[in-house]
Amino acid sequence: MTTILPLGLLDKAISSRVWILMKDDREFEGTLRGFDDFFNMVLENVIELDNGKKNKLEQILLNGTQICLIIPGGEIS
Amino acid sequence: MNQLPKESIIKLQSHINKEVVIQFQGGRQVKGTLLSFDVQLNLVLDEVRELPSQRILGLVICRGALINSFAIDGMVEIENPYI
Repeated sequence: MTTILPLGLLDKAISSRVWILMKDDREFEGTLRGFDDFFNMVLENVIELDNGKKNKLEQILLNGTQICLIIPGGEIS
Repeated sequence: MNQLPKESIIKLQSHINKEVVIQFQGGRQVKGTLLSFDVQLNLVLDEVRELPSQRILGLVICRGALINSFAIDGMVEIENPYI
């Protein structure tokens, strides 16, 4: 029985690109460096999409309380 | 006060591999196949489409903390019964 748990899947995604959808209309895409039990995340080489505006950020700590969806290996589309 | 059993009141095991529609706080809605879940209600969904835009998201981790509701067996729109 090899069902993968949500945190297990996130752990596998470390060092790869992830696409994150927030509770509101913002999206982040970056390389996942790590996360904690509260889904706070460290991301690198980040593209932030905010109301159609793109920002580039080198390294961020993303607050887990607002994170809604995480797509491993995903890209902002 | 009596000790209540520390079991989740939501039984998701029977909905594994079924299609669900999840509503989140903030208004997001997604439809996908439930692959797994944990005690905090974080989910792994497959073949996820965002609603209503039908944007394809694929394999997705959903945060249980922001889930408002689940629909199993789909939803049907009805006329407003309160008017």
